[in-house]
Amino acid sequence: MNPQTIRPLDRRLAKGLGWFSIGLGVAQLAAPRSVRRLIGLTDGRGVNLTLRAVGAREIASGVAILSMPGRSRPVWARVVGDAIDLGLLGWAMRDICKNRTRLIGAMTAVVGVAALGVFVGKRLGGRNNIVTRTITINRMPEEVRRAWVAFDDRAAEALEYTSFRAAPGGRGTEMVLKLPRHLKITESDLRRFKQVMETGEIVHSDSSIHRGMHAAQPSEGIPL
Amino acid sequence: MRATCWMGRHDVRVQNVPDPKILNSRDAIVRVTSTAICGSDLHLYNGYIPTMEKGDILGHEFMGEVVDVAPGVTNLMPGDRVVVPFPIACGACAMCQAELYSCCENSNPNAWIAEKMLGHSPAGCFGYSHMLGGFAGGQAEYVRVPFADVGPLKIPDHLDDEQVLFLSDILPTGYMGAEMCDIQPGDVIAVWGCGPVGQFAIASARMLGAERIIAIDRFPYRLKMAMERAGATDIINYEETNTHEALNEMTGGRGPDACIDAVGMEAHSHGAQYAYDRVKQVAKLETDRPIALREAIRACRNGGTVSVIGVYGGFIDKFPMGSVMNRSLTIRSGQCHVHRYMRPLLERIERGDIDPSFIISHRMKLGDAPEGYSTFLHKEDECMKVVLHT
Repeated sequence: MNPQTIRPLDRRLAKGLGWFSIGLGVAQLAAPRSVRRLIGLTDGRGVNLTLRAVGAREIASGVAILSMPGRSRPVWARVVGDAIDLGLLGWAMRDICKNRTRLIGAMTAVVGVAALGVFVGKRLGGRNNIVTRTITINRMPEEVRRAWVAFDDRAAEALEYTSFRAAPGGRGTEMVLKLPRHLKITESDLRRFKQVMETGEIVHSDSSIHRGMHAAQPSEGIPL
Repeated sequence: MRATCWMGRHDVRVQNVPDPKILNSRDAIVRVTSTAICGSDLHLYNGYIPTMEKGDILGHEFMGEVVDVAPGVTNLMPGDRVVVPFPIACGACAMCQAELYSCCENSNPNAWIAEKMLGHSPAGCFGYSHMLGGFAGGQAEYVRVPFADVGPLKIPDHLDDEQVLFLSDILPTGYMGAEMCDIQPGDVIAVWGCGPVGQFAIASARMLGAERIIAIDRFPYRLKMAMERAGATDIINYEETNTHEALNEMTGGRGPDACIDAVGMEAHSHGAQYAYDRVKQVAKLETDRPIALREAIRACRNGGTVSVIGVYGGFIDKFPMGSVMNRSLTIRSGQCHVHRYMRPLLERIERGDIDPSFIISHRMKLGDAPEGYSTFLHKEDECMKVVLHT
């Protein structure tokens, strides 16, 4: 995982959302009846089962957020979950509502948490966030810079975000890219560039020439 | 061509697949004349190595005749007889220049998978999972060899295949295991595991001047070979004797100066500890059973070296770090940097210091590879090493 320059507050908010999901999920899974009363729904087997399923999803969502700190995707997934919950609660309002005030309170809470999710998701995925990628190439900085400019369009576009510094002890060049998120240059892209610089070309295996998984055996025709 | 394909746990089949082609400008195509089943292939066979795909061609110990070279290969010609080292190395990156060929930075197209598992990626390897590049292996009639200007070693005609085949992996691996012990005159070396790599570690420790070499295994035929062929001076059958006590007795209570783990991730033992590791491994709470490694660490003398050449894949449990730290042990390890050792070891073979063919117990046709795997796994018929001829 790459280090990303993310505001500490956003990271903390995302973490809070993650733990909130896990707490809510555990409550829904373990004590669906109490949750049901709390949000003002009538009794019923289907209601309890639905609450449990939603609880399991909340836990998964919380674990995803906590295990990918600073990533926006699991936060957005959580927002989608909130939208589903709002739909369910709206449907409940018509059919199985026991206490209207409580149910409206629950819906308000979901909207509030969803709004927080949207805020955090936007901040984490925002274009202002920088992704750092680095690689060391066994060539002199000037040579690496020249080759990088000519490597492809994306490399040329990324040049202004790229620094080329001599590695300690004359051990080649450390390339450091601090990229805005819309410039999609991966570690694998940098590795291929390194291969070209150091070996003259991109290195292939019998399976790597295919998109997706392929058995490590030769194939008819070369789908390059 | 026909090739030995991994089809799942305990399922390898010799199948017809397309012939290899040149994909890079420093490739060669080699017609395989001899290839061997490695102990580490059994980890694949047993399903312990992740990122295998149905149809993957196995085999990383092989040799043969060059039949085609790409324009970038100027040191080989069709007709040359070569042994191919199992790690694929570019020869140009910082690791290769430091002669750490099995850590080549450019030869693994799937480095991102290895990075996730291991932190950083090692070199690509023939026939050994997609994490290590997804390269087709050499238990086949033909094989594509990338960076053929760096790896393959030309073999003079007066040496036959069986004398030099093991330069591809296990002889250098055993040698590196002994070399990492930094053997001084008078040293006592203990070797866990008397499979092919263990035998070569023993033979190498002898070549490098160890005074006593203690071989540890549970199969009498392997211990016998260690004594009679490889050059061990003492043996311990761990099913009959307590290894730690026996080593203490042999070394005046001090422990061996260096210990070599030539066992790796699928160690056996008896009693509760084995059951413990087996359960944890099945439950995926650890990926490897480090029984030999734990024993080697605890047995080694204060300030001694533990040299790990047995293959480990992932994570281990109950690692005796307290013993390492408090007793000033040095742990050295690595996939063998085969390229570094091939030429000097070829010279030793030519001089007659060692004839590695002594370990071969079974000679089969390529088509019998499935039987070879099964025989080797179950140690049937005193199986030590299976060589497949095409």
